[in-house]
This record gives sequence, C-alpha cells and structure tokens, in this order.
Amino acid sequence: MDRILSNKWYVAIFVLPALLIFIAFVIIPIITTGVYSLYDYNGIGEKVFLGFSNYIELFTKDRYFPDSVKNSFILVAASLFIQLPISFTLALILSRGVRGEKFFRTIYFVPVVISSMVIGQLWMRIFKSDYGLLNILIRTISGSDFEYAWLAQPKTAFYATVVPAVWQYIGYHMLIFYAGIKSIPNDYYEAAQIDGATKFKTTLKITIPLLSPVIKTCMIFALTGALRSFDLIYVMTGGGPNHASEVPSTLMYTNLFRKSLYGYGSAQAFFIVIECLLFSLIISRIFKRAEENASSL
Amino acid sequence: MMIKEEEIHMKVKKIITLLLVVAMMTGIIGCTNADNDASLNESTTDNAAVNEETSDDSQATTDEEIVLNVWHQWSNDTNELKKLYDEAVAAYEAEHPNVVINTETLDTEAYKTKIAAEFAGSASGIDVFYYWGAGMARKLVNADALLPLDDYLTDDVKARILPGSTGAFEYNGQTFSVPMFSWYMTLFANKALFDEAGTKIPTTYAELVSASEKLLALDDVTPFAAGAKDGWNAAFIYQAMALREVGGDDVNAMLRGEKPFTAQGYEEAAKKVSELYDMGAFGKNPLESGNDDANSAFITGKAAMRLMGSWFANQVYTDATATIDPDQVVAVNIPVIEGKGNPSDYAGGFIESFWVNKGTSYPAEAAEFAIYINEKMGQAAYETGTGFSGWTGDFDESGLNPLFIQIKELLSEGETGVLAWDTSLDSEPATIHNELVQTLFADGFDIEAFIEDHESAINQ
Repeated sequence: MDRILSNKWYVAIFVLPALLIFIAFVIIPIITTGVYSLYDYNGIGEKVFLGFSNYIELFTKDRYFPDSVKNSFILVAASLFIQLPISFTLALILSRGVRGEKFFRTIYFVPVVISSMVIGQLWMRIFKSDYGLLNILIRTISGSDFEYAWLAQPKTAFYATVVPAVWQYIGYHMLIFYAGIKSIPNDYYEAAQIDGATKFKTTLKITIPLLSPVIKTCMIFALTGALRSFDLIYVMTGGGPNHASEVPSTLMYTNLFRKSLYGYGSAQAFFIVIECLLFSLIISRIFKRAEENASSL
Repeated sequence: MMIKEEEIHMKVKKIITLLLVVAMMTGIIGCTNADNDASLNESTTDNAAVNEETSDDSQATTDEEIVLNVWHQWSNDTNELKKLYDEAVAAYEAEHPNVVINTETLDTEAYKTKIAAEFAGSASGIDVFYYWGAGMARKLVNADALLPLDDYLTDDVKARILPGSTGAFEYNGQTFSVPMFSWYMTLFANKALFDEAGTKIPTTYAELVSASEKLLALDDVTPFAAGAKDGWNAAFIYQAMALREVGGDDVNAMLRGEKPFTAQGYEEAAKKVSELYDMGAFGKNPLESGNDDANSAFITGKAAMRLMGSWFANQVYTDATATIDPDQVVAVNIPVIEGKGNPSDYAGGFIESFWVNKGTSYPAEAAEFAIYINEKMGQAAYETGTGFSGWTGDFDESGLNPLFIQIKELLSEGETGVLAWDTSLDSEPATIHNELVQTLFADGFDIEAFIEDHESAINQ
C-alpha cells in the first residue's frame, strides 16, 4: 500500500474520479455563476455583457440586499454564540455518561433528520397568532388575551425564523462534539484528576484544547450553514412581510426564479459563495494556532 | 524467478487498476451523456426514416412514425383534467396511427422552472407544451422560440374559436396559440353567515364595508379571507378594486405599457384595501395565512367571503374537508364603486394554452396537435366545471355544479376582461407588484412608496 501511495501517478489516478465529479458539479457551476453575474440575462435569449454593474447595483442601489446581509450575520451570530455553546454543553453532559445517554443522543438528533419543510410548518403553527402554542402559553401565564402574529410582524418575523434554525441543528453539532470528546484518551483526565484538577478545569484545559479541530469544523459548518440558509426562512416567511426577513439566498431565489434576473441573481449567488469561502478561511486561520498548541500537548 | 513473478503481479495489478479507472470514467461520462445520446439516437433514426421514405416515394410519408414530446402541468393523478387529457391523446393517436404522443408532466412551480431551463438550452425534448400567454410567453416570443400557428389555422378552426379569446396569444400581429379555457374572478359569499349577521351580500364597495362591520360581530368569523401571505392572493383583492376604480380598458392599457401607472384610481384602490384591513375585514393578521389557509377558512365556515377565480367553485363542492353547505354559497361580481368604472368589466380571461416549440422537427404535426388538444381540453375544463371553453360547440353540462352555472351567467354579461396582472406583466414588475400589494395588509402602509415603486417597476 505504501508503495502504491508513494507513486504519484497512482495517487493521481485514484483521486481523478472524485476530482472530476467535484469539478463538474462544484467548480464549473461556480465559474458559470460568476460568468453569468457579469451579464444582463433573462434565462432565455440574448446575454448582454455588463461588467461589474450587477455588483455595483447590489451594493449601492439594492434596497433589500444590505438588510438581508445584516440578517444573515445575525443568524451567524446566533449559530456561533447560541447554537454551538448549547451543543457543546449537551455533548459534555452526555459524554460524562449520564443515564439514558443513547436515548438522549437520539432525541436531540431527531430534528436534524426531519425535513426542513416539516420543521418550518411545525414552527409556523407554534408562532401562529390565534392557536399558536407560544401565544397560548403566554395567555395562560399572563391571563390576558395576547394575540401577536410573530411571523407576520416585520419586527419579529426574522427572529422567529432564527429560533427553529438554531434549534434544528443543535443535535447535529452535539453529535460531532460528542464523538470528538469520546475520542480523547481517558489517561489525560486521570492524570489531571491525580493532580487535583476540578471537572471544570479539565474541561477548560484538556477537552477544549484537544477538541479544537472539531470545534473548528463545527464553526465552519455553522457559519456557512447560516450564511447560505434558505429553506426554513423560505417556508416560514418567504422573506416577508415586506422583505423584513430576507437573507441573501431568499433574495437570490426571487431574482432568479420569480423575476428571471439570471445575471443579477447570479451576482448574489456568487457573493454568497465568496462570503462563505472568506469566512471559512478566517476561521481556519484563527484556529491554526490553537491546533498547533493542541498537537504539542 | 521470484522477481519475475513479482513483476508479473505488478503488471496484472496495473492492468486491473487501469481497467477500473476506465470503467469508472466511462461510467461518469455515460451518466452525463445518457440523455443526449438517447435523444440523438431518436432523431437520427427518425431522419433516416425520413430519408428512406422520401427516396421511395412521397406517398409513404404517412407511415413514418412521428414522436411528439408534449409537456403539461396536470401532474396529479387525482386531477380530472389529467385523465381527460390522456383520453384526448388516446383518441388522437387512434385517429393518427403514425403519431406517438409522449407526455411528460411536472407540478406547476417545478414545471415553470423546467420549461425555463429547457428553453435556456435548445429545448430539443419539447415539441408541444403548456404555458401561459400575455406577459409570460413574451419572453419566449422575443427569443424566437415559439412557432406562429397562423399558417395552420384553417377557416374551419377559426370559426370554432370564441371571438375575442385570443388576445393573450397574439404578439406582433402573429398568433402563437389558440385558447383553451378561461377563468372568471368572483366574490364567493357564504349566505348562511350573512344571514346570521343580518346583512346582505355586497354588490357595492359601501355595502362591502357595512357587511364586513356586521360580520365582525360574529364569533370566530373573518369577514373576508384574503390569503395575503401569497402575493397573488393579495394582488387579486387590489386588482379587483383597481378594476372598479380605473376601469378595464385603462387597466389593460396600463398593463400593455400604453398608459402609465399614475391614475388617481390606483391610489384610491390601494386606500380602499387598506381601509378594509384597518377595520379588520381581513382578520387581525392576514399576512399569516396563504391561499390554502384562506380557501380552507371559507369552506369550513370561518370566513364569509373569498375573492377567487372560477376554479374555486369546484373545491366548495368536492373538498373532503369542507363543512359548509355548498348550496349556501353564492357567487357575485366584484363589488362596484359607485360612480366609477363599468360593471361589465371583469377580471379573468384566457391565459393558459398549449404552444409549439419553433425548434420542433415536425412543425405541421405539432401545430395540428396543439390546436386539437387546446380545443379538447377547453371542452374538458368546461364539462368538469374548471373553466370556460374558448371554443363553440355542444358541451355536456350535466356535470356542472350550481355555483359554476352562476358564474357562467355572470361571465355571459362580462365585456372587458383584465387578466391577472402577474400574468400580463413581465416577470420582474409582476413580482414587485405581488410583493407591494402585501404591504396593504399590514400596519404602517405607505401609499406614496406603493405608488412610486409601482411606477418605477411598471412604467420602465
């Protein structure tokens, strides 16, 4: 095996099929999107070359795009600072061997398995003004006849979609953290225990540093997932009311498939790709040092 | 000796890996090209057949097998129109033994995307397809993708087409399709709830307001189910008001780009919808419910009125979840605004039909089939109470429900029809319009922005 892998030709040949598929279904579409974004194109008929004016319009004239980017950053923040800490805490608790470990692991993972369409419908019912679970709860507690349309009011519509978005993938990240924690050898903990370290201290000094590659992966998943989130928002609000809950991908969808602005929509799509790559790179950079420290441990 | 054996071993391994790689590669290439190959083969064999026939003698062309690929959007097996389409196709094939109709279907939204994607390429797999006229097909006409049918419309066919039903299919003086069936917008009212509230079904805007006030007194009843979460539902209500304020001819002129969106009536119409929202006629949060929720609210007696197309009549009778008495449902014209517009103006018309791809290999046959299927499906839509046929003839009316017959009578008095704006306008202003009208169904409606944004979208 070593001999085969040391021959560069073999490596090339083995990598080739996957590489071809990757190029055909990832690289080429991204490049085509980039090319389309330079044109005025309605999907059928003539393409008119515009240069960068689609991008200029996007950042200077588009009334909804800046707010949609802001919304996506809110979603990123919620994913990184609410979703991941919860996932991590749950993973820590479960990995300590609570009773019913397997049961809870499965329960928390269930939302990940359910289709986003179903989750969206479910939470739409929860947020409904008249018979929604949330409002009924508030009514029971407060005794008033509280009737607030969470998803139909511009102030709350977007935040109401953030809740299920964060909730849905808690189990997913929890499982990755859980697997990571389980793979840390017990010896470290035993040694720390002998040295008299508290549980909190071992978490801080052993678990987190050794888990940094896993944390990095989770952060990249959470971040890119939030930046290109689409399904839940599309189902629950469609970007409305009056564009209050738009994110770049819902705007892109409207432009591409409703307004037939293939060039302009492609510019938004390309922006999302670049944004995701850029942030992934930044996170990788930040973690590079942490990982070096961990490996020297 | 040992070394040699090892060398042979290596060679065998090398050959095996190479073979594997080749197998994988052909697998990948095979996958991506499978479709193209198939269609290529088909067309080449067809061409070969054509060559053979023509060299033999011209008589033999009737034996040539012609495959027409037809696309439509009645994808659901429970849809009666799908069944009737299949019957019509079987009858056509029996009459034309050399023609094979190969039908593909997709659900509406997926269908629109699929057709757009096909025509972004060569659309070689499409001969005849279902599409929407007016603003939607204009893009295809401009791209020179549609076959004009003028040469194939015999006097006999023209005589059977209902006068004034081809407007949505004519571009630059050419006719690209023939009508299938039309729709007609009415106000559906649940008489039982009106009786309970002690008011009458409105014929004017003033009556609509006073009826809504009385209906609000009923417990758990929304006077008017808007379904405004779906832009086109919100748009229906605004378009109805604008039709009454501005008049059908002027709205049509505006949609054709001949008149700007500046008339006072458009603003008045917006104010009226907003007024209805403010008084609670659409319920507290109309933006929470879409088309399906609103339909469901009406057929379960939770809403007293619903402004919808004639297709809704069927649902009142056939929907298994309906709890109201269908005989209590009355269809009336859009309430008029005193002293404005023309009562004979209506919203609706012919918009859907089958079209022919200009790139088809068999223009004559495809055109003949398109005309045939439009006529047949027009009849089928009428006989099932889905829409009104664009063709004259003796139709079987035994299956029509009373509500549909009411609408038919309303339609017979209609003179100037206005199509749904989102099908008349180009896709960009259409989308902007559907988004803007939703702002009428929420607090803080900004009339100036509403008019300005419409102007900049429509008048450009």
